[in-house]
Amino acid sequence: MTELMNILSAGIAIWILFGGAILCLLIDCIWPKKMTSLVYAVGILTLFASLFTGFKQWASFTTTLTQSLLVIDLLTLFFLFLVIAVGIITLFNALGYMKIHKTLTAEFCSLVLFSITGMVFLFASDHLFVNFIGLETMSLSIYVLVASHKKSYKSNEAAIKYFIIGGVASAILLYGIALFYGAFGTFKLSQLGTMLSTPSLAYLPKIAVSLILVGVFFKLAIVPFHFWAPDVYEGAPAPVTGFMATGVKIAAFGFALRLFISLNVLDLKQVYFLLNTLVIATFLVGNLLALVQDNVKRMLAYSSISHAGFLLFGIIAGYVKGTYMPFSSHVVLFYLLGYLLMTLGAFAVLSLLIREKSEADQLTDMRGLAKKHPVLAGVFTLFMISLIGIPGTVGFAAKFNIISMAVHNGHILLSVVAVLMSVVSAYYYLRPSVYMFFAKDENAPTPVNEIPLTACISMTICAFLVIFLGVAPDAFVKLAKIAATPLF
Amino acid sequence: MITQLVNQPLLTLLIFLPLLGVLVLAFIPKNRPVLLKAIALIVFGLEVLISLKLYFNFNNTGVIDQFMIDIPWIEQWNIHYLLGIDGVSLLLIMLTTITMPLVLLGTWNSVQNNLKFYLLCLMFLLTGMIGVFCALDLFLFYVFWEIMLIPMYFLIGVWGGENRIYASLKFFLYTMLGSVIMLVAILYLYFRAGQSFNLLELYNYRLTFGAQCWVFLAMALAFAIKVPMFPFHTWLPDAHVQAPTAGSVILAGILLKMGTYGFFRFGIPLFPDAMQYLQNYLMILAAIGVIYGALVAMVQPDMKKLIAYSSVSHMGLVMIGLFSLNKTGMTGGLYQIFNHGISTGALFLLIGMLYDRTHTRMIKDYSGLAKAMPVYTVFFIIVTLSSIGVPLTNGFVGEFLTLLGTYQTKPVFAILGATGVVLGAIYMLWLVERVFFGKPKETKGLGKDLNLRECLVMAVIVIFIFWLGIYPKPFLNKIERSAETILLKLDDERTMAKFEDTNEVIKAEDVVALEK
Repeated sequence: MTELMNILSAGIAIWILFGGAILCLLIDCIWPKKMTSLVYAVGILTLFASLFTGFKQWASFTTTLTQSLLVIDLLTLFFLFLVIAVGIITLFNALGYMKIHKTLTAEFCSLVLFSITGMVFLFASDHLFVNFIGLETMSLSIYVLVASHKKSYKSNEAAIKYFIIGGVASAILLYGIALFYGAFGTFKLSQLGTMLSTPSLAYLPKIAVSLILVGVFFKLAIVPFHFWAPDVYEGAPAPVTGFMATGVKIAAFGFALRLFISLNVLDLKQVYFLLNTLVIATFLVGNLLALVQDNVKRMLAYSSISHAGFLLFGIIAGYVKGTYMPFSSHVVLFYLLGYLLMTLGAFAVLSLLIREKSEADQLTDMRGLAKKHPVLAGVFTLFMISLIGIPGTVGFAAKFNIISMAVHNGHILLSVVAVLMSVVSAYYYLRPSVYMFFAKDENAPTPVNEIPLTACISMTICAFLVIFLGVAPDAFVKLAKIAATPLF
Repeated sequence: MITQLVNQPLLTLLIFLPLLGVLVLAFIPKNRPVLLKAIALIVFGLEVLISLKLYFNFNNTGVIDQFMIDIPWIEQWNIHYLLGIDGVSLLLIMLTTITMPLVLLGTWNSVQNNLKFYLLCLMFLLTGMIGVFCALDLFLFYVFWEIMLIPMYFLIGVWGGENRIYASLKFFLYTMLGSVIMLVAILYLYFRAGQSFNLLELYNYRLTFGAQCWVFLAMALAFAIKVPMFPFHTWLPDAHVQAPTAGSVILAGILLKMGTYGFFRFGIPLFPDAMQYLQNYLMILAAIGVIYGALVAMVQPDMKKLIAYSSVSHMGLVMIGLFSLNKTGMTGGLYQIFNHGISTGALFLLIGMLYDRTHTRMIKDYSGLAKAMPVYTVFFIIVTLSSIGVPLTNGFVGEFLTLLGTYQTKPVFAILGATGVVLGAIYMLWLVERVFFGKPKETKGLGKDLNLRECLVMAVIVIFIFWLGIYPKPFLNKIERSAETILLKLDDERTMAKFEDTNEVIKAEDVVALEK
């Protein structure tokens, strides 16, 4: 009984999310299609309530609660804040999208909440089985979300693609978990060290770990497990794409961090080598292929691949002589925060562009936007500049943080590769602004209507924070450090 | 080193006043062009006044870095908002603040579309430029250095010529390429020197020789691209030609100075051993730039492109002076950057004025312009003379000192530099001959001569040309003191220790020379 109470009180933020999701579903069931606004209001309130309880737990945090299947430590709470922020901004984006495109329905809201619940389970546990359940809850909701543009061929195609490939990846992950159990006799990552004394088969741990990594890297869209990303990102409605690009990455990185930290005890030198290779491959593929994209969403898909590479580079940055230093994960935390702000901001703008009843996501659609809607063009350019990593924006602070950690730990060559890739990325991030500001073609259709209030809110929040965290990142860097302090 | 510091707000005001102007401008409706321009002019005027106050309060005998301000900015990374200026920074700030109103006045009617955004870009640019010259914290320096790219990118891209998109992207990517590698170098230095970005503290820290070379090379790349030194100059002609007049003037007048300033303030004093080791190679590049730039300039059919390549040549000479690591040469090189800023900036301005009338910059479209536009011709010729360094103009003082100083340490490069000066006279005078003399040609749209506003702008520039040429002492004093301070870093005992072997060789040679 006390065990149950412990679980309930420790994971209160999660249960609120879960309850909210069901409540949204119920409201829509009782009054079908009539109470959409109410559903969204409930959804946003739920997120805020969960955020609030999370803050309370953060403020009164004393020790990590691990007696249950959940691990409620500062890291979990930090990730919780991130995914809830993603949820809130996504719902605002979706409201704007709904007003303009008239497609999304009320179940969108509850699916987002379910998905966030899954995300929290993914990173708030060190029990591989719970992780897996979280991953599946998250993924299944997102498969549906991708298809939420019901009459769009592209949207449905994307969902099927994502579902099939995602299913395979889940199967591989599950197989990895099974082997992991076979090798160590436990599902708990934190017990890895204690179980190590009885290795059954020498190669089994390696296979298990690699299979689990494949599953995670698939969700992160790390090369060579990235092939689904461009198609799915392009096909999904803009708010969903933003949600996928940020939420899924954040949650999967939360899990990956726990994984890498616990892998330390195994002393697998190959992991470090593997990471190096994958990072370079991801940098190259993500950035070089983004150069030739004419579809902004597709370009952002490749950009998100390259950012995943940068995040993985952030993990490498924390390796000292082949061992991961848990504390150095704070650079990844800060980067995720910055990444979520600028990416969601960019998708907030993309959600508003419409042309002939479908999304205006081609570069050519951006023509003359600066003339018709200077604010939208300016804000979008700000997010792009931040994604490049120009000083004064959060993108720079985040990249600086990772690179300085990497230089500190002696990964200088990889740092040079990373910054050179930022230069490459400047080209494709600047291309939309070229079309928006430089194109003289005034007759080209500029596909924007009145900007809905909700979209204004999400854009303002993102833009403000992008600049604020760029100019004064101190408090949040410190916050990330606090979150990373008591790791394991 | 710095014991007690009283924070002085003047530099901060200078940096952030334009940003305040940006805020004010943002609330003025688009359809009031005169009001918009007037406000911009007021802000630029105030900037001039503040910089004059700096100039008169600058104490040339006391501590070298003045008007310091030191506020912790990002404590987690030990970054400070640390500003301070020495003589060279002061003069560069003066150059910047004086150039801006002249640019605005000189191109008063050139920009019609998107005027508000144009002014915003200029203001934003001003903040970045002054920030670069004031920052004494490497991180802060990097922030200003990089942030400037954005307004310049828009200036070229929105109001540029035919090929503006290519030029603006090339400018952006090229410059960023250099600066990001500099960032890694700065970080390396930061960690080796005990996590400090403070330039004044870093002056006292020496990396090992090998590390110095790498870090110096990484930073030199960023500065060399900005200067631009051969072979990193290819972005410059594109950017110059495609940029609107204001963009070209600012590029030539101020942005190119940042590379030199970077070498002077960061490259040389932070890595003296590497600097001395690589001196010859850098001078070779600079000398190639001088000759190559001049030769290419000679065959350009486009006036703006001609001036752009002449910039490459002139900046090469500046770099020769700077790398001579000799007080006179360095002073001359640094003095020359102001001259180049004034004369080349003025040339771009003049070409812009002509372009506004005729919409062509091709030399073949003009002939005998002196008949149609006598006042314009007079100004153009004066500026040309300054650019080729005729005595009594500013160019002479700079070139003379540069060559004099360089000859003392590296005579070969002084000769090469002098060749560049001669070539400069050839292409500039040839340009003047083709455009202004000969049989008058009816060029379409060639209206009136310069109006009062344009004359006023040019008159101010001409005054500076002669002032700097006839009485350079107050400026040279300031530069000399800064150069001395920097050169001191080269001579201190730690540097000597590293070069013990070579020093002995040199000493032996000296002894031989003395005996003779």
